[in-house]
Amino acid sequence: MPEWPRRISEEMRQHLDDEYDALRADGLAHDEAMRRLAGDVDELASMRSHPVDAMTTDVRYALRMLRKNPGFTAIVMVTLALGIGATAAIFTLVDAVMLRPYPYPDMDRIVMVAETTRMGQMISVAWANFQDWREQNRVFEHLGIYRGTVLNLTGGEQPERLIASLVSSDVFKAMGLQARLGRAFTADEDRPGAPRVAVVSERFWRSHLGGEASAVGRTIVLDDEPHTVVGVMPAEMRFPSRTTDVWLPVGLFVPTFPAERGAHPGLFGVGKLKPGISVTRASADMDAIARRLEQQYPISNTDHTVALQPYYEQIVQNIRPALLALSGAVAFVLLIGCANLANLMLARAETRQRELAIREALGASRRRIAQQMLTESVLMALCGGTLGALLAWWGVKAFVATRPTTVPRIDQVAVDLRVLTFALVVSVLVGIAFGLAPALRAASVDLLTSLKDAARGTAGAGRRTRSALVIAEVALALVLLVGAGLTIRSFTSLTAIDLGFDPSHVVTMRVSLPNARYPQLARWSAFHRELLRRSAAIPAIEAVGLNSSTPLEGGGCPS
Amino acid sequence: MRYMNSGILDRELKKGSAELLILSLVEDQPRHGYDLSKLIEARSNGVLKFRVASLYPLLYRLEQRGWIVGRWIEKAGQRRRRYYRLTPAGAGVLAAQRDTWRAFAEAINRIAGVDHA
Repeated sequence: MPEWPRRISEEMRQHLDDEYDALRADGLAHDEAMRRLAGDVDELASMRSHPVDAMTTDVRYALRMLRKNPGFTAIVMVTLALGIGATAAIFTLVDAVMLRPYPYPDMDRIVMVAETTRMGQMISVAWANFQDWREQNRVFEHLGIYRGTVLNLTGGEQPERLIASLVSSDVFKAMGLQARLGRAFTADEDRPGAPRVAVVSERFWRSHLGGEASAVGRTIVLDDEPHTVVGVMPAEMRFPSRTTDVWLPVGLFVPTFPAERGAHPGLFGVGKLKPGISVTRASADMDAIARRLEQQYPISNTDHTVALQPYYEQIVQNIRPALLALSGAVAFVLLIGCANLANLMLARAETRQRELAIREALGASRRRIAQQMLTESVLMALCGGTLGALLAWWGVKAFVATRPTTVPRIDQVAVDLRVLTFALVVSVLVGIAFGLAPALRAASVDLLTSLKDAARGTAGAGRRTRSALVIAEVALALVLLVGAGLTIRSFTSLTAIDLGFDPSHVVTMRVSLPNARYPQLARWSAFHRELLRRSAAIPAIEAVGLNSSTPLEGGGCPS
Repeated sequence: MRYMNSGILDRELKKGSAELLILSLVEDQPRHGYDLSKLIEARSNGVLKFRVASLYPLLYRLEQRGWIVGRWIEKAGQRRRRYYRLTPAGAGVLAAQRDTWRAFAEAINRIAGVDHA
């Protein structure tokens, strides 16, 4: 190591001491004197080469530069906050809906099974067909069947409508989740005439059974029939729906299903494939069974086959296009932001070229200068990213508050450590992305050309880079604009559809009567006539009506 | 063509003249760095000012080229300081730079009429 760094630093220290003494002699207080010397001190410190020192100094120097240009800093921060915030918000959704593992073990082996016509129209499964599928298939480890329904819970202060699911005992095995308390039902309990048992959700257990271990074995009255609670499923069990309160053995209800094979009583299958069996292979196996049944029962089964769909696909299929489109859009916004900032940084780097040339002349290596430029941009990106994370947190909260029903696992959508880590990584990458061009230019700048350029005006290479950035920006913005325009058009045309009725001031309610108490149509009709009469008598009600489903709802399936 | 703004012109002039200034100031007597910076600031009425981070590397470069030579001198009751004096080689450079600068200034004067303005 040559003698000079130590010698020069001694001289510089001496100089600072002299300057300090002179300032104090002029009557300045210690703090003020130090403040006046701060610029020199930082500049000197940045010439040292120890990596950690250099990093600290770079950060301090960068902070000073940011403070010195509040307008520039504000523009950069807002751009970054919007870009990173939007990206983080969409990532929060994508992560919760698609990326985070689902709680069911071997989720990739869980498939939904439906009957379908060979034209591709999906229909529910005939009970008799399901029996044959279960017996003849060689591809499923477990094959179960389920149907949604609603039940009335009585025995409390007032009757309550519960979201229930009739499931075969294989459904729990296919989903692979153990009961949190007690057990799921057995195959013996899942047959006509068996003693009535129920498995309840954790939510129901807490709200209605006091969340106590003694809840197992207690009796609840559902549709006028007493049921023994045998188990509590954990909160992770969200099949068939996250709102399911209670699961009952489907076997108990088989006598109520139409006996003929051509009847499709709203049942759907769910199964777990044997290890190593692909969906394609399973489909082929099930299709072979369907063809055999077709020959055996031509009246009911002609042109009927079996459709398999991975459970994960079923969950995300509706939301995926929207999420992908949104991800693309925010990526574009972020890219435009980056291009914009790279442009700003390049423009600023040009005005700073003399400063950089002088630093280089004073012995700072080009790598060192580039490193300092990158430190500046990454620091800005981190500050912007922090603001962005705040924006994302607020935006996601606002979105979840609207309770969108089409987003799976919406209750798990929140800005958490995973999202913050993502925002951090994006910030650093963005910082490098928009700081790289100026840093590379700074590293390649040399004193002589820099001085010549100063006389000539803007450097040619810099101008070309900036033009390219502007072109890229306009192209990206155009794509985004067209996409947004099309989305808005679809939305306005959707809202412009005439419903044919005025939905304002209209409220709906659902009623379900237990079969046990209303077995005959006459009693059932009498109940509804009485319901209409008494409702119409309420002064606040102008008109009242009854239907099997509400307008635009389609079908008559209870939900 | 864009014109250099006055800030840039200013900086470039200062940079070009820095060597000349230092060589001139150590011509008559040895001086230390702080003394040099204060002299430049005072004699230029504050127009010219050196940052610490540029002055000492410049002194170092001039010494490397053999135009000036530095020596540590310790005076009673004071910290040791490095005093620089002009070498014969430096004297030659100084004379040449003075000529160049004079010719340059005259040329500018003749064109821009700075003296008669």
